[in-house]
Amino acid sequence: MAIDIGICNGSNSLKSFIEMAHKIGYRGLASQNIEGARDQQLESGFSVLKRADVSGRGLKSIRKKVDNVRKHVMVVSVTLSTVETANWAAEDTRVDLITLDHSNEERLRESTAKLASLSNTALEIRIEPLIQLTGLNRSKVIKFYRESVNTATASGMSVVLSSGATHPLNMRSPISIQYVGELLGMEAELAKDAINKFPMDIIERNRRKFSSNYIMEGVEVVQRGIDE
Amino acid sequence: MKRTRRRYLSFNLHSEDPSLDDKKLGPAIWKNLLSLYGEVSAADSKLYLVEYDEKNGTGILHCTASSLNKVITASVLIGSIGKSRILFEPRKVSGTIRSLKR
Repeated sequence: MAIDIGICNGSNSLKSFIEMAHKIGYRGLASQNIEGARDQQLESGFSVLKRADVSGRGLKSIRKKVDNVRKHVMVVSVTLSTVETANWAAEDTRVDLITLDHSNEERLRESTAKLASLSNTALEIRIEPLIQLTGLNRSKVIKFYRESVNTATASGMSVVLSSGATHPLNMRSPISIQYVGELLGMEAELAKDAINKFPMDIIERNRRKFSSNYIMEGVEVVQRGIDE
Repeated sequence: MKRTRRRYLSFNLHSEDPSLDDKKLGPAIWKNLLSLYGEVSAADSKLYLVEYDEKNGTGILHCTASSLNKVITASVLIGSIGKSRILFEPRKVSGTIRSLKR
């Protein structure tokens, strides 16, 4: 069951993204611009999830933003910037994703990837730049993405692929994204998991955390006592 | 001489421009394959557009079995043809057109 975990529906209506996602084989999507509850189920069984993309100047402001948004969204992503913020995001279990920003080309360090692998924080790669750019510019982004994928997989950090689409026609089907994953140097099986399994794992983990039976990592209420 | 194994790929094309035809689509796929993988890979792929129905946006591509992954990757990474955005959606792969249409 595939979920596109990174939609950027700025001015475009969410409805057109949902229609397109449904058409090309997704069972859910996550975006910043969603009103209402953090986890919405449509009649068709399609999941619409709230997500927050956090970025800022320094660690203090990023930490504050994460504190504010965590309870209200299903997915928290921190944009990869300085070593300090990247390492903090990698260690903090409230952060689900570290998102690569192709425009600032801040590379993923091995130390960050190792920390992330211990706290189940995944690396998010958005494929829209590969669709919009051509020639030398695209080649530079491919190089940057391939190096980051290589660092992440070598350190045991999960990689999640998302469309990062700003228009419904910039979305791609799960099987298409799997092929793009292979272009970025991922094994076929890993590329498949990067779109079909890992995003769903993040959502399921957070649904469990938000349930009333959740106490802390590894501790859950399995049965409640009966008041007499 | 050893015969190369061929593959047929059926696809759906979602586009802003309903008049987008095979004369524009075929060269666009070829151009992106060339840009992404180079001249030798593009030549070895034996890529051509077998058919494309503009009305429902479905079509069939032909290529060699060894270049199938490259052809699919190059096709899905086409963002626009001319000024209209497109979404290339691969559907099914087969060794013969008959089984593809079954």
